[in-house]
Amino acid sequence: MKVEYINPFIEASQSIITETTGLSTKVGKIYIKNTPFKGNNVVVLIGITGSIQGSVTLSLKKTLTCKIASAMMGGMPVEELDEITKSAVAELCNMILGNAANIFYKNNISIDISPPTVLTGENMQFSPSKSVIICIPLEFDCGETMELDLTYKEN
Amino acid sequence: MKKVLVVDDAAFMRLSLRTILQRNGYEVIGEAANGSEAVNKYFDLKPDIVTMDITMPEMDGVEALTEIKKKDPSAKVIMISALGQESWVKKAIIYGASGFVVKPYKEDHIIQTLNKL
Repeated sequence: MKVEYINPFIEASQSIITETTGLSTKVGKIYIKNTPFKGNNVVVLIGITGSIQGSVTLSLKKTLTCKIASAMMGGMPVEELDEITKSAVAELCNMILGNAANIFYKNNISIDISPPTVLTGENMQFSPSKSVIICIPLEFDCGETMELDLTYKEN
Repeated sequence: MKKVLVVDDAAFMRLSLRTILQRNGYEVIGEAANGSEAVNKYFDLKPDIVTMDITMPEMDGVEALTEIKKKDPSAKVIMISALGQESWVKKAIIYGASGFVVKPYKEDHIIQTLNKL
């Protein structure tokens, strides 16, 4: 596990979530996942290339997705996973990864990111090949957790 | 009223920017969800200003900026992106962007940046 890969994601996700939603998070225990790993109801997938070859999935329940989207839209009530709600949480993830890329850049690690893909469903499983999977749980005050799973190929 | 073309692959971002711009006296005359659509709409609609995301499918925002500036060197394109590294900002300015705003943005900053054009 490359420790220097983890801190930019922690820093970026906590600051971007607070800045865009006003919600604060605590980092839970970071651990290595085995493949296949499970996703929650809503998963945002962003590819990473450059010095790190892999992807990030952000995985959360529908209820947390709606809370986050509502906060991003100035408190407007959000009950359903419509296209704007999914787009809001995809954009949150895009900003987290963009911010992380900037932190990496300042540490002389250059990465590029893909546009986000949003997946919704039940019982999703992810099977990246020959990759390390590091899970960074982000715990919200409401008791719900968003999992940021960083998947990358070891050199 | 200045006319703006809003380009971003996220529907949420296009809605957010549209709301901010209309609230501040700008007219949003069109939207595009990728760079290729942005280039086509630019020459169809002839906006005064374009707000351009970078990370998009099909054609990214810097490529779209380049294509627009090739045919219209006077085009005013403001990049609005989550990628705020110096390398991206330099690249965008070299290819002719009139400004660069890093997401997440504050409404005041967007409007001040557009007002300067």
